[in-house]
Amino acid sequence: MNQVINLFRNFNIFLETDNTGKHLLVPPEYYKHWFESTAEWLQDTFDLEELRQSSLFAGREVILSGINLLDAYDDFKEIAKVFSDNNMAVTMQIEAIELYNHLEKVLDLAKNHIITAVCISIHKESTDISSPELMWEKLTETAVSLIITGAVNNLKTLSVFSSPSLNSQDIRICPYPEEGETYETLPENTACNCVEHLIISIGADGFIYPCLGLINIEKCAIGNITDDKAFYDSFIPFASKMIEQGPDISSSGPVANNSELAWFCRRHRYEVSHNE
Amino acid sequence: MNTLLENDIIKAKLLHDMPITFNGLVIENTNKCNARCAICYQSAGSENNNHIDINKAKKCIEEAITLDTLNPRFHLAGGEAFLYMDDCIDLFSTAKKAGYKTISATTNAFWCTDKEKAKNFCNILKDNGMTYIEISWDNWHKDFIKPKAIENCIMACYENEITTNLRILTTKSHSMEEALNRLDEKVIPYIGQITSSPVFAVGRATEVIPGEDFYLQRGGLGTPCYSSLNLTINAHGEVYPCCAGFDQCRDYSLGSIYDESIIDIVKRTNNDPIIRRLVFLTPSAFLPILKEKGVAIEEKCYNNCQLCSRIFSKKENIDIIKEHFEKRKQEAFLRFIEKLEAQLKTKKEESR
Ligand code: SF4
Ligand code: SF4
Repeated sequence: MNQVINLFRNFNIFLETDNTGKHLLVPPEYYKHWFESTAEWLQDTFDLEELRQSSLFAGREVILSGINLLDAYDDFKEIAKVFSDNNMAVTMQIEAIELYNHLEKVLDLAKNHIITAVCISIHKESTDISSPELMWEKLTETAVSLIITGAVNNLKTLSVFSSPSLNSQDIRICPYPEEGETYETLPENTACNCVEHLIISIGADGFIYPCLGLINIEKCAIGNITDDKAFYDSFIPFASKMIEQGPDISSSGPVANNSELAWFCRRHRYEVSHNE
Repeated sequence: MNTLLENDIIKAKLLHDMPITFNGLVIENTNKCNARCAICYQSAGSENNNHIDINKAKKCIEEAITLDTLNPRFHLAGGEAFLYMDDCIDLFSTAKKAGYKTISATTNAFWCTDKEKAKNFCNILKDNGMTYIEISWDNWHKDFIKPKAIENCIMACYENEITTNLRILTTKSHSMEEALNRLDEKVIPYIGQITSSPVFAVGRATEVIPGEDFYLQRGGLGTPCYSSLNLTINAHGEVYPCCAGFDQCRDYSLGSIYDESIIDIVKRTNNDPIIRRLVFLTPSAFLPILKEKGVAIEEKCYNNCQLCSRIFSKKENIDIIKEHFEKRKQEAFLRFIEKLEAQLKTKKEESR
């Protein structure tokens, strides 16, 4: 199976509200247009058989993340539908406190199968949620998949490990150290290809990146969703190299463990943003 | 949201058109295990003694990567795969050379009781292409594995940039919290991810765990599994479309690697109407067929995979399903002949 095609079938999309707070920065119709033209480009470029065309995106995943997205509920829902209508699994990434305050809206998206998973990040501010179990219970009742990330203490404060509701279903938890903590240990043996990490990632301003590690470093963008799709062609050789070999990075120097990125992605991001 | 009719059209299209694709190749090199956990869906233990022929397994690894429908990911599972360390390394390095991009394994970490040895061994694994490891740990593993071994494994993997997934199984009386509390809390942030799921009421679990302790499903059984399949070869050399329970239903294997090539098996599977219905329409699609023959399957279960095991672990059920599809094939053939005969008749009449 062509790894480059795979790369274009899962998406990580960051969204942001505009200054009215009621709409998203890039309007939903751009995502729709971009998605359709990407599908067309894939079919032309890779000369996919008739059979495969009908199922190009079926079962694939898109992650929609951002802050206060539910203030722009209608725009958000429209963007999510671009993907769910194409039989893709839509994950909504949301901060726990925002989820708590807008629980009914999220449940509504889940019950209508517009989102299939919720990825909840628990920051310090979210830990004063008064009755987390009620929130967990309502979420698990919708059978939406749950992914929870956060520092171990924050996870514990919201009873993530002990909640009867969360224990009763499939769940993925990504724990990380206290916010701001840095690891001393540096791996000795880190050379790796990027295949596990490459995923088309789109910033809130519409710029497209090959992976999360390079997001928002504009010189690494491979295009913008509001542009023509032709730029993808020049991206194929780059993607193939990353899939085979991974980045050219020096394997020394401490790197703060301040994100969920893999060690070598953090290093790559650091080097790209510091070397002109 | 799509309407019900639109959803039915999508389902029908997938059932008809979509090639069966696999997220990776999974080899279960043995069904032997140093532990004997009550929740093991394979009922593995030290008394089991089936091992895959290592040369055949290597050949499958090399051939399978040429399949257009397989993602280049290789996963090794057991029993406890690492009981045969040399074989594991041989298989990982074969996968690396063959071009698999993600190489992973499941283990109970019994080999990590010594910190330094664990670290050195992880270094060797990394050199042989390993990128990801699943470590099983919960209330039932604790009777066989020391928490220290789990902690050493997590840290040794972290230091070698091998991503870890701590896999916990739960029942109403045994939570994730209980499993994690047995580990040194300093180690927890170094775990890549924790995945937790309820224990299924299959195999040994049904004998050891009281019925009311199992969690049951909350949502529907409506989501098909076609996007989460893995081409799986069990310790007997039999091939299955997943490693989620169906791989233990020995009366419906897709074929054996000792009889034919993995490529031929996969090609045939793509046209197998029973497998297509299973993965694109869910196991519930077989319930009416069984019901018609007076077989009632207990539908209350945790998820599709449990229902799937319930259906396909009984030869009687498989026979009914096979007979149903055989009959449909014959009916379709007869309809085809009738159509040809009608066409011939019309032609003859026209030429008169
Ligand atoms: S190493 Fe670099 S290019 Fe590769 S996935 Fe990470 S950040 Fe992206
Ligand atoms: S439903 Fe059956 S075939 Fe599908 S993943 Fe589960 S066990 Fe496997």
